[in-house]
Amino acid sequence: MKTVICEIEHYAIHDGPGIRTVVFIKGCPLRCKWCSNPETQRRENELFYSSEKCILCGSCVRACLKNALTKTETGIKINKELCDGCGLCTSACPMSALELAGKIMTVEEVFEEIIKDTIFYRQSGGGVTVSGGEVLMNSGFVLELLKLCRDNYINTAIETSGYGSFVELKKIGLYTNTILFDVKHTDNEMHERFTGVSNKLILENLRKLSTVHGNIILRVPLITNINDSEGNIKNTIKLAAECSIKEIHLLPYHSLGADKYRRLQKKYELKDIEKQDKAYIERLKKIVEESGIKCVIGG
Amino acid sequence: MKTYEIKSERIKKLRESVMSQRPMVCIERARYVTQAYKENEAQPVYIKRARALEKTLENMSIYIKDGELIVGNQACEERTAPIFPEYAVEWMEKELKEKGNFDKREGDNFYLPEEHIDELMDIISYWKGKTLRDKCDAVMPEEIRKASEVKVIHGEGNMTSGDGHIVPDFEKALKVGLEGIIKEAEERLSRVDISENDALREKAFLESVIIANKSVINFAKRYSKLARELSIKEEDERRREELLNISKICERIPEKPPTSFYEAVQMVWFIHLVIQIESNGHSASLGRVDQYLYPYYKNDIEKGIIDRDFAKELLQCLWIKLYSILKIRPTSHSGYGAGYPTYQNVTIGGTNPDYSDAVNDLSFLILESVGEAKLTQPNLSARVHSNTSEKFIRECGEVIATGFGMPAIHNDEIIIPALLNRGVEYRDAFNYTMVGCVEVAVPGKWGYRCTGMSFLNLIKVFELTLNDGYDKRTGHTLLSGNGRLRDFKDYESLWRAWEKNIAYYTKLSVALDKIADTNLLEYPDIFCSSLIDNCIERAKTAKEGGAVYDIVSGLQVGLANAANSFAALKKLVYEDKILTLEEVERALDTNFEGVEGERIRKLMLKAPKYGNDIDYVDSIAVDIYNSYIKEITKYKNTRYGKGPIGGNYGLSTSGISSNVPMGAVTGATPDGRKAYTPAAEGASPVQGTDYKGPTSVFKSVTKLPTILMTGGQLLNIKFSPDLLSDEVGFEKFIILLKSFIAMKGWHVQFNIISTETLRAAQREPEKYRDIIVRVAGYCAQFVTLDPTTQEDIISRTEQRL
Ligand code: SF4
Ligand code: SF4
Repeated sequence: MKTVICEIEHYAIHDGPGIRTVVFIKGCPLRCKWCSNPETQRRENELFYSSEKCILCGSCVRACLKNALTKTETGIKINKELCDGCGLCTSACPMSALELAGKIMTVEEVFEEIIKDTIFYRQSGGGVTVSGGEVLMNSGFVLELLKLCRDNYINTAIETSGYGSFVELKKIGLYTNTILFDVKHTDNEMHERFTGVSNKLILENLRKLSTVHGNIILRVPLITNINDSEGNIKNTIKLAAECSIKEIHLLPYHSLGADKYRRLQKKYELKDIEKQDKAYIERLKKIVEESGIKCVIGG
Repeated sequence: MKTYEIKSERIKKLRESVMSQRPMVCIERARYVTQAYKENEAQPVYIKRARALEKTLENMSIYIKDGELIVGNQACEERTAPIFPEYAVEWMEKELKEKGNFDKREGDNFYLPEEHIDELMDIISYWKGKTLRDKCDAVMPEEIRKASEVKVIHGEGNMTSGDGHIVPDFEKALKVGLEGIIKEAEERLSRVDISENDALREKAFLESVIIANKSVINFAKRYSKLARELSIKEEDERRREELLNISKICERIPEKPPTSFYEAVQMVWFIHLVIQIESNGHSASLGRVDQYLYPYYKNDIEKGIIDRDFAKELLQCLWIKLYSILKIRPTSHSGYGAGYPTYQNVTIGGTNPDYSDAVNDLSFLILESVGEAKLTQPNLSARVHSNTSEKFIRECGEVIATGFGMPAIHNDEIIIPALLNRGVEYRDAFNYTMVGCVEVAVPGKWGYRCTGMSFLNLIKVFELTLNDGYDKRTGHTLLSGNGRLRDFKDYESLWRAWEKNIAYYTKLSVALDKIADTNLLEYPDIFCSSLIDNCIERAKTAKEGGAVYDIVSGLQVGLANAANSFAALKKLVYEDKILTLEEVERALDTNFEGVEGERIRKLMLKAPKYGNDIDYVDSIAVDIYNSYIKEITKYKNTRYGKGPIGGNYGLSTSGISSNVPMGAVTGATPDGRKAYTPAAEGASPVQGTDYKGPTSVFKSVTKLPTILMTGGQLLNIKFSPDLLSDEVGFEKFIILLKSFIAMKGWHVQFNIISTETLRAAQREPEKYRDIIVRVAGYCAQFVTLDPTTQEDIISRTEQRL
C-alpha cells in the first residue's frame, strides 16, 4: 500500500512520550486557518515554489506535460487544477526552486525509516507518531503501518483531529498506545469559522473513543484571541473530565509555517497575529492543573 | 533548568581583567633562551635546553595580580604570548616586515609593543637558518614540499612549534614532589656506567632533568619572595594574610609534596605552566583532575580546612590562569585552530576498573566552576559510561544547555575497548584521559601527540584522483598515471584509482611526520619528559622513546565530503546514468558555472548525504576509512622498537578547524561543494546536509570503524536552542546523551546557539564577547574568529524542531 508522505521527522520531542519519529501523511479534511503545515492539507501531491531561487529560465514550463505552469514577470504560476504532482518540472529546474511537498511511499518504506531509530526509542520509551494531515483520511495505510510497528514492539501514537469515521478511529485505536486528540475549539460556531468544519462529529468521536481507549491526550493549539481564552480552556477541561482524560497539552502559537503558504501560493490569513506571552500560557497551565489534570506546554 | 553565575567577587574581577586583556606578544623568553643557547654552544642539547629553561625562569618578569590566589605567569602580562624563536622565525620576520606588527591579521591578532620590535629582529637574525623549520626544510624531499604546497598534506604546525599534546604524571609529581623526581634522576645517574657507549648521552639527559626540576623549584621560590614583599606593602589585612599564605605555599611546593588542596592546585599550575614555557606545542593538558586532586579535596573538606566555596574559587583561579595562556602561531597555520585555542584539556568522570563510577564531589565542583566561569579554557571533557550516575549526566546536560559548548562528552564504552585493542594494559585503559580536544592518552605514560603531526586532506586526495594528480591551483602534478575522471568507466575503476592515491598520500603524510619527529629530537622538552613514565629509567626523552605507550594517529579532514562525492558519482553517473563523466568534469572545472552547472550541482546536492543514516553513502564513508586504515597501519613512528608499547599509527578525525583551510585550497567536488569553501570537520556531516537531525547523525557516525580510531573521533552537533528551551526538551536531550553512550559513539559536543545571535555578534562584536562556540573540539570566542570560520559555524545545520 502506498500514500503521499510529506515528511518523516526524526528526533521529534513534542509529539508523544520519549524520542519519536513523526510521519506526516498528506491529506486533511479541515482547513484550520493557523495550520503550520499547509502542505499536508490537500491529498494530492503539490509543488512548493521558491521565487527567490527562480531565475525564470522556463525549463519547468517546457518540462510540464500538463501545461500547469506559466511564466509571468514575477515568477512561475502554478495551476493546481491541472498539476498532478508528477514532479517532471522539479527535475528540470536547475535551481531547486520547485519542489514536491510530498513523496509517494509504501508502508514498508515508511517502516524502514521508522525502525532506524530503535535505539532511541528503547532509551526513551519513544516510538512512532503518525500525524497529518489527518490519519483518518488515510486510515487503510495508517492501520497497516501501525500494525507493522506493533508487530515489532515499537510504541505507537497518532495525532488526529477526530474528524472522520468512528469505526476507523476505533480500529486504529486498537494499535495505538497514545492518542493525541486535537480539540481546536469547544464552541461549534468558532470551530466552523476557523477550521471549516463543525466540531460535533469530533466531540462525539472523542466521547465514544474515550470509552474504549485509556490513553488519550487532548491537545489545544493556542491561537491568540481565537481559542486561547480562559473560557475555552475551562470548557476543554470539562470535556476532558467527562471523558476521564488525564492530560492536556497546550501548544503556544508560532508562525513558523507562514513561509510555506507563500511557497504554496496560498494566502496566510493569520499573518498579523501575535504570540502569547509566557505568563499567560503559564496561567492557562495553572488552570488546567488546578482541575487535577496534567498539563504540558508544547506537548 | 539551572543557571550558572560566578558568585565570588574576586573571581568576577579576575575574570574581567583577563577577558578584557588585549592579546600581546612578550619577547622575554626569546631573549633568555637565545642568551642561554649562546652561552652553552658546546653543551649537549639536553643541557642546552635545560639551561634555556633555567635562564628563562630565573629572569622573566613575574607578577601577582591583586586578588589572585593561584600565582604564576607565562609571559609579562596575562593573555600574552611568549616567543619561541628556536622553532621558527621566518614567519615572524615576514609578518613584521609586511604588516609592522601581529595585530593586523584576519583573526587571532596580537600586539607586540613597538619598543621591542628591534630586539626581536636581532633575535630573529641570530636564529635564522638554525630553527626547527630550517632544519626540516633542509631535509625535505621535493615531493613532500610539492605535496605540502598543494596542501594534500599539511604539517606546518609541527615545524613551527614543539609537540605539546601531553599529560604529565601529575599524580606522581604530587605524591613525591619535584625533589622526588630529582632523587629518581640522581639514583638513575648513579647507575650510569660511563664506559658504556650511550653513557654520555644518558648522563647528559639525567643531569638536564635535575637542572630543569631545580629551576622550577626556584621559579616558585621567586613567587614566594614576591608575595612576601607585596604583603609588607599591603594595607588590606585579609589580602596581607593571603599573600603570606601564598608565600608559604610557594616556598614548599613544588619542591615538596603538597599537603593541602590549595597547595596541590598551585603545584599543578606550576607544572603545567612550565611545560607551556618550555615548549611551544599546544594541547598540553591537565588530565583527570577530579581524580588526582580528590584525596586533597576530601581531606581538607572533612577536616574543615576549606569549604566548598573556597575550593571552587581556587579552581576558578586555575581556569583563569589557563585562559591567560596564549600561543602565537604563523598566520598560515592559525586557520587550523582558529580562535586563540590552546586546547588545555581537563577531564572529569569516567569508570573505574571494577566498573564503578569514578565521579566524586570534585567532579561536580569542577563542572560547576567551569560552567560559571564560561571561559574557553579549560577544554572540559566529561567521561561517561553506562553506569554514570544520573546526577552527573544531568549536570553535564545542564552545563551544555547554557550554550558554551562544554563539556564535551566522551564515551568509556568504546574508548576503553579501543585502547585494550591497542595493547594498553587494562588499568591504564580505564585511566585514560583526553588530551587537547578529542585525543586519548594514558596520563603520564603516553608520548606526545596521540594524534599525528600532519593532516591528510581527503577532499584534496579525491580531487587529485579525479585529475590524475594535477593540481590546478599550484600547477603541480603529484601522483600521476592512474587516469582521470573521464577514464573511470565504472565505479570500481574510480575506486581502484582512489586506493592508489590514498596509499601514496598516506605515505607522504607519514614521511612528513618523520621530518618533524626527527628534527624535533634537537628540541627536547626536558622538564616535561621527566614527568613521563619511563623517561628517567630509560634515560630518554619522550621523543626518543621514553614513554610507556607511543601510538600516534594520522589525521584526516573532509571524510564526509569525500564520501558524498563518491556517492554522487556512483548514483548519478554509474547507476542512474543521469550525468555523464564529461558533464561532471566540466561542471567541476568551472565551479558549477552557468545554468547547466547549477543544474548539475543541484542533482549532486540531492544525492545521498552522509549523516542521515543512509547506508548507501555511510557505507562509502566506511570504505574510505578502511582504505586509509589499510595503509596507515603499515607504518611505524620514529619510536618504534625503542621501548614504548605501540610505536605505530592508528587513526583520528580530530582535525581541529583545519576543515576551513583544507577546503580553501580544494576545487569543486561532486558532493556539490563549491570550490575553496570549507570541508566538513572531523567525522561530522557536511555543514547543512544533516537534514534528518541528531539521531540520524549519531547513527551514521557510529557506523564508522570507531573502535580503531584511538586518536579520537570528532563529532560536532549544532543544536538549536529551542530544542532545549523547556523541560521536555531537556529531558529528551538527556536521553539523547544516554543513547549516545548505548550506541558507543566516541565523542560528541554540542553548539547550542541561535543563528540570529551569531549574526548579531558579527555585526556588533563588542557586545557579544561572551559567545563561545565549539569550533571543532575546542571552544573559541566567536567574535575573535575570522569571517570564514564564522560563516562556517553559522552554516552548520541547525537541528530543526
Ligand atoms: S508536477 Fe508535473 S504536472 Fe505539476 S507542474 Fe510539475 S510537471 Fe506539471
Ligand atoms: S525551472 Fe526553476 S528556475 Fe527555471 S523558471 Fe522554472 S522554477 Fe524558475
